Amino acid sequence: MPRFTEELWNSIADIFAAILAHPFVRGLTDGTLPEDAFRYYVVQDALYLRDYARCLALAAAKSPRDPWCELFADHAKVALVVERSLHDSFFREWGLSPEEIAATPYAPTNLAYTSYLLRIAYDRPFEELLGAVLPCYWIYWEVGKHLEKAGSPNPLYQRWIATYASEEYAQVVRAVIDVTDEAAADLPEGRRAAVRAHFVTTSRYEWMFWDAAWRMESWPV
Amino acid sequence: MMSTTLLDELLTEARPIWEAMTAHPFLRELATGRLPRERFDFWVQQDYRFVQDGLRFLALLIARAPDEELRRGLLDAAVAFRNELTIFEDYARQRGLQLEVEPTPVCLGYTSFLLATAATGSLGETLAVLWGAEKAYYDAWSTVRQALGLAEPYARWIENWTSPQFAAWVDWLGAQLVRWSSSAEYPALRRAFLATARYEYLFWDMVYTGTTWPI
Repeated sequence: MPRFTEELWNSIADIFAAILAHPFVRGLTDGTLPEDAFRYYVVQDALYLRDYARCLALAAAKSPRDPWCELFADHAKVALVVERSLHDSFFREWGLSPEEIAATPYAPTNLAYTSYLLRIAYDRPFEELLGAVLPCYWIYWEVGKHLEKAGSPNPLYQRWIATYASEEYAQVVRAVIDVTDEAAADLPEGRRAAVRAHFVTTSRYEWMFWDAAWRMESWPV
Repeated sequence: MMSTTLLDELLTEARPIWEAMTAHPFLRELATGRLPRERFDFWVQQDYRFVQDGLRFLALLIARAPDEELRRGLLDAAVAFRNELTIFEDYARQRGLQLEVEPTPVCLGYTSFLLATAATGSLGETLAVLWGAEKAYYDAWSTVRQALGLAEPYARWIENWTSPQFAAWVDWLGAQLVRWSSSAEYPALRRAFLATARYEYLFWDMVYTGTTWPI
């Protein structure tokens, strides 16, 4: 029997292929991505990480086992550390202060995605929350590995790619995949189905997040 | 203490969004009897999902209400929400319409935003988005009522969202918002209110254009 997370990953094969084929992602490695779209993306990602950290803190609170509580509490902190590192590695260079970043409005897709994560984190059971947060971890790892092979002529993009292709990051993702398999091990089918549904929804949001940055999406009113 | 001008300030700031919302072609066509029936059916399906999550939102807020007055007022509203669902169900039965459809990105985005606010936002923010959503519906459906009166097949919805009882509920909510918000949460509350207004516009726009998942 395949691992539950293998089944999850197979269910988003089309979405992952579409992410790799997306002009934003392709543009990172062939250097055709306009820098203002990349800047838009990194700013929105910083806002996203602040909410993602809160979701992980809720995952820690809901963890049925102490080591998992420790893991997610640690990851919640790491998400905020990564958010701050964006200031050092990108925002300062662009002359953007932390206050300016915090005052930037969430783009529609970002608000929808982070709200979805928060609602699941708050009122759904632990395993469903895992299904919702896992695509962000996992897709970035896979995208990072894929992009690293190709590299980028743009040093800014290359610096970004290196973060997600590191062995350090791989270990973080593997740990969460393992927790998900263990947490889902003896769940009744109805509860597994809910985990699958969240996994697919947030994978769609991952594609939409790249796409929103590519279009530099804003509110129509 | 927050002054009672808070509500006026919020509406003034949101005015361009509000005007775009109440003048949206969906509402204009509905009010002039030119809206294709399948567009309306699509709204019925999506708004049904919205009200379902609206009930969950109310339940979260009821659990967090700091006093009996707020708790009971919200409980009455929860009963009204439940009755709202019946209007959709009766219509769907007559039309042979499926109600358990997948929410579109705008519908899911809006309900997630409301639930995320109720879950992790302050009491002031949560009341601001609820008041915003209800006020938007009162205003939107009032423009329809002015043009159409209680015309079929929309009569029960028009009546539901423009009745004196509904107007009183919206006013009561506004008063609760003023009563329970602190000036420290004003910037976050303002952002949450504006996001609600934008989602109201986007919801009409989504049912008008039929915008669904891009992937």
